[in-house]
Amino acid sequence: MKHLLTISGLNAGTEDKSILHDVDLYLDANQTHVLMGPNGAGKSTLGRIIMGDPAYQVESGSIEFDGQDISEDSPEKRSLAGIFLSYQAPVEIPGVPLYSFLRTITQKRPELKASARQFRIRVNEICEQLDMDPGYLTRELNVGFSGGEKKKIEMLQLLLLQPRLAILDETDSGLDVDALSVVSRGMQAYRESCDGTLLVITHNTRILERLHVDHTHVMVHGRMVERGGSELIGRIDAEGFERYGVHEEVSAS
Amino acid sequence: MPTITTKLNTPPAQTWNYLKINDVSVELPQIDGDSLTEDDSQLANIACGCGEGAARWMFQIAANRRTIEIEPGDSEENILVDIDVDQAERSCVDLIVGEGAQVKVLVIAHGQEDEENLSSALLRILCKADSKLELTELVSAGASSTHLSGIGMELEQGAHAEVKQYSLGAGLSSMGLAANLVGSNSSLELALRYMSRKQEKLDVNHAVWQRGTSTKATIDASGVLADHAEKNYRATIDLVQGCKGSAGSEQETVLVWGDDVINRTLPTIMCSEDDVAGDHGATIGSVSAEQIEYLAARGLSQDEAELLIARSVLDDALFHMSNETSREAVLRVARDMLGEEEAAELAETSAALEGAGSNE
Ligand SMILES: Nc1ncnc2c1ncn2[C@@H]1O[C@H](COP(=O)(O)OP(=O)(O)OP(=O)(O)O)[C@@H](O)[C@H]1O
Ligand SMILES: [Mg+2]
Repeated sequence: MKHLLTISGLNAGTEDKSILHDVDLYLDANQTHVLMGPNGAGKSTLGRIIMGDPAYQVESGSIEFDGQDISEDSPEKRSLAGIFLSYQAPVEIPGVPLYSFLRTITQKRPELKASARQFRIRVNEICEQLDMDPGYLTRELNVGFSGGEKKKIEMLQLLLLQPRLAILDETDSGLDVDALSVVSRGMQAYRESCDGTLLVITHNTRILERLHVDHTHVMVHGRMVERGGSELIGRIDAEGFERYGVHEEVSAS
Repeated sequence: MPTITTKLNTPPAQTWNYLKINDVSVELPQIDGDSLTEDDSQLANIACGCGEGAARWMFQIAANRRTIEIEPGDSEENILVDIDVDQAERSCVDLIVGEGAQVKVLVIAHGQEDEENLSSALLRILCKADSKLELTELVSAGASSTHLSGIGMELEQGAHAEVKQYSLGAGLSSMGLAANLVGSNSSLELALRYMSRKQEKLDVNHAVWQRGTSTKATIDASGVLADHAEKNYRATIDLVQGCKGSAGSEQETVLVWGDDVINRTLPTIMCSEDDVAGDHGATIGSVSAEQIEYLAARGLSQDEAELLIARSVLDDALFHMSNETSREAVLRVARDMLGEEEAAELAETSAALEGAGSNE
């Protein structure tokens, strides 16, 4: 069976620093995966490389999405193919109303094209689902929103676009209880609404409470060191990453 | 009719004329000495950013002069200054916002005729302690018209002003705005959004003095220049001695569309006080790499990202207009730029969204 995402023998990093070493990872459709690892392990880097961030270079190895090698594709093309990466710090774009942005990114996808009215109804439904004030829609994209509100805006896009692969890179620090619950409700709604696959990068396992986790991956020093089931989460919560040769304190917020 | 050459929009600090944007000169019809009225308004001394000479002219020429006083603690949502540029209307409004009062003001200069009309709006505002002012201004007029706007405000202790200026077109759209933050803890959020196309000229002067302690001012300008448009923008924040604990910042983004536009900016922060934070973010000549990357990750190419930013000027303007005339003035530009169909969708969307949520 073909996997949704297959990464094999990936070595990658920035121009002058190699960060990921021999990474193998495969994800199947309609599953929930968790990626854990100490600070600086390379988790965010992996997410960005899957999305095609030009700041990083692939030295060797391959990234296949839905049977196609995407390692040369632009981020824009990967996005249209169905890959979504939520940003730790979403970029502010003054002058662009959130609604105009949402409408534009939706209209670009043939499978999501909708009339103005259908679209509005859909957006309003999602706002309600996320307990989000529809007044946000006419405000400027990510400008002047709190950290938690920005997370809601990322979740709104996740639910609107229903990507086939969603990578959520959450810096849990800085999220209060309400924001955590927004993210966790958003993830749950996404998994229930389509057969997309979720890859959650997190230190905070509370965020996973509403989800059935299929697989857990552990990354240390740029290498994948373990692949297991959801039982790994509890163990790492209790022991940290000591058994992988990591002795630093791992921040658990 | 005899005219006099008048300088407009001179910034507080005159720099050497290398950039040639110290001011703009316009020919204004001379006013007959016999018809001069004395300006005995309580707000006569409030600087309006367009320059003293221009402000005097705008006061004298105004056929329409009003003083509006909002009682302490009151709230008034519908103050409207409506200038029909095609009728060359000229107004002067003095507004006194009483202690703790809250007001929303809409100033619109609208027109469509390709005639050399000259209209003006002079607005002088005193915001007393702890009052709140929300001011939205729109200029959207014909390709040969000139509209002069002068806005001056003085903010007392704890007063807060939120200003959004939209300039979507005119032969010459001249916008002067000065704010004097005299009271401690007073604050100003000033945003300028513009779309200049064809042969249009936009000339803006923002001057902010932070005098009280712990005042806050942000100026955020962004817009699009296309075809042969010309824009001159001066932004000055003066952190005056004694304004301890104050913070002022200026930021500008310009999307330049085409090789024939003229884009000049003069950002200035003056500072004669140590205990302050002043910063002017570098003027960004286009969409930043970070922004392009974020939009790319959501499926937009650079061209599509720029198109989104350009049309957003109109979307954002429409979302902030609260009456039929102002909405129609925005939609006129939308029809011309985006076509009938998209403009119709925008109109429908904006009407529906306004019903849906609070429009902050
Ligand atoms: N653009 C970059 N330039 C230089 N170094 C980078 C860059 N991006 C990541 N790194 C480095 O690569 C390593 C991995 O960083 P990464 O952000 O991927 O870790 P992480 O696993 O996401 O950590 P955290 O749990 O703290 O978010 C770090 O040492 C980091 O400093
Ligand atoms: Mg990270």
